[in-house]
Amino acid sequence: MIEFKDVNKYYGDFHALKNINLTFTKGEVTVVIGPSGSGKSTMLRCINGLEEINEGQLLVSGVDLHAKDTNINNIRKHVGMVFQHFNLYPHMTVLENVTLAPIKVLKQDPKEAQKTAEKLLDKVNMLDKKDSYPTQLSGGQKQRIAIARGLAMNPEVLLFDEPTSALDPETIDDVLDVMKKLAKEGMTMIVVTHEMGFAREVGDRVIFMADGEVIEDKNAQEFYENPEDPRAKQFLGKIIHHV
Amino acid sequence: MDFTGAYSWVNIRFLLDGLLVTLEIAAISIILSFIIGAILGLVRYMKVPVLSFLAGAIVDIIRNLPLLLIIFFTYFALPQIGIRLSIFWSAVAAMTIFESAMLSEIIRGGLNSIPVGQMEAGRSTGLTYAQTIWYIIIPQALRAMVPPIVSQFVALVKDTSLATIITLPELTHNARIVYGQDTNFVIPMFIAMGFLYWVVCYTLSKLSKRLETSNA
Repeated sequence: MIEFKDVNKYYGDFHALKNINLTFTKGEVTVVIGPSGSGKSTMLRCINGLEEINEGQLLVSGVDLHAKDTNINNIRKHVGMVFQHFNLYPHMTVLENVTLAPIKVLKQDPKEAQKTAEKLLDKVNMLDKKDSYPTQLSGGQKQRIAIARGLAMNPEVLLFDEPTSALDPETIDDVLDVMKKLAKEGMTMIVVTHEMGFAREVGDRVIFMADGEVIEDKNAQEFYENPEDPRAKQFLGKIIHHV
Repeated sequence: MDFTGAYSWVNIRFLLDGLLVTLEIAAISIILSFIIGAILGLVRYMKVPVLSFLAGAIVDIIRNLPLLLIIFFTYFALPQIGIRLSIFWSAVAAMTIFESAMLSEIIRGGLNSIPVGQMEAGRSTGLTYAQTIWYIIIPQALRAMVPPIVSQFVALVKDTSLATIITLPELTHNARIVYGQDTNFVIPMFIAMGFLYWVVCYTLSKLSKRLETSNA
C-alpha cells in the first residue's frame, strides 16, 4: 500500500535519502531503526507529505504523492501520524483534540465523533481524562491521546516518529502497551523507534537505515540474530548495551 | 492658579468635546488598523511569495518613521497628489497606517511563536492549511497576543494627541485653547487632561486583563 521507488531527498547539499526502494504492505508492523541523522524520520515524514521528495516516486494507496494534481489532504486522511513531542493542541480538551479532524475533515456529526473518540480514548486507557487539557497530563498520557487522535481518522496506516523518545521511563510502557495492542489487532504500523523490546515482540520486519540509505530490510527475528552490515552490528551492540 | 475659572461648565464641555473626538479617532483607527494589521501579519506569517516580501518591506518602512511625519504626510502631502482628506480623516489615515504596521508585527510574532509541530499535527490529520491556521494556530496565538495588542491600543489612544498639530479638535488641542486664554488655567488644564487620558487608557488595559483571564 506504500511504495518508495528510487526516492531521493535533499536538504540543500545534504543528501538525506539515497535511492530508497521500499514496499509496505497492509497489516504489517515495520520497525525502522538507525543512528540519528540516518534519514529514518525523514523517510517516515515523506509518507504523509510533511517532507517532499525530490526524485523518484512515492505511492500511497496507489496515489503518486509527488504528482502535481495530487491533493495531499486526501492522502493524509488515510495516514495517521504520532509525533515524538505529541503535538497535542493545548487550547483544546482531550476530547476536542481527538474529534477536531473527524468533524472538520470527515464532516462527521459532532455527537457521533464524540462517541467514536470516547471509544478510542477508552482503548488507550485515557477515557477518564477526556475533559482535561493536555498541560495537565504526563508525557505518556499525552502520547496515548495522540495515538487516539490518529486513530480517530480511521487511517489505513499509522506512522510513529520516535513515540517514546521524549517520555519519562516510567510512562513508556503504557504507550508501548497501547501500540502492541494495535499491532495485534492488525493495524498497519511504521514505527521509528529505539525500543528493541517492542520491535522484537510485535515487529514483523526491521528496516535499518544509515546515512540516508536502507542498509538492511528483513524479518525482525532474522535481523537480531543475524545482522549482516557492520553498521547494523555496531548499532545493535550499542542499543542492546543500553537496555 | 484658578481652578474654579478653569473648570467652568463651558470649559469642561469643551474638554469633553475634545475627548469625544479623541475617542472617535482612536476607536475608528483601532478597528481599521486591527483589520489591516491582521491581514498584513497573516500574509507575512504565511510566506506568500512576493506578497509577504512586499508587506514586510512596507511594514519595516512605516515602523521606522515617526508618527508625526505620517500625520504631516496624510495632511500636507496627500493633497499634492490629489487625495484630499478632512483633518479628521487625515488623522485617522495616519494613525491607521502607523498602527497597522505595529500591530502586524505583534500578530506575526504571535503566530510565529506557535511551535511548528502544531501545524504539522493539524496537517497530518488532513486539515487544510487554512483550517489548521484557523482552528489551531490562531486560537493559541491570540492568547499570547492580547496583552501586546492592548498595549498598542493604549499607545494609539495617547498618540492621537499628536494630531493636535494639524488642529484636530481633540482633547489636547482643546485643552491648549482653554489655557491659551489665561495662564492661570495651565496647571488645572494639565491636571484635567492627564486625568482624562489616564481614565481612558487605564480602562482599556483593565479590559485586557479581563480578556486574558476569561481566555485562560
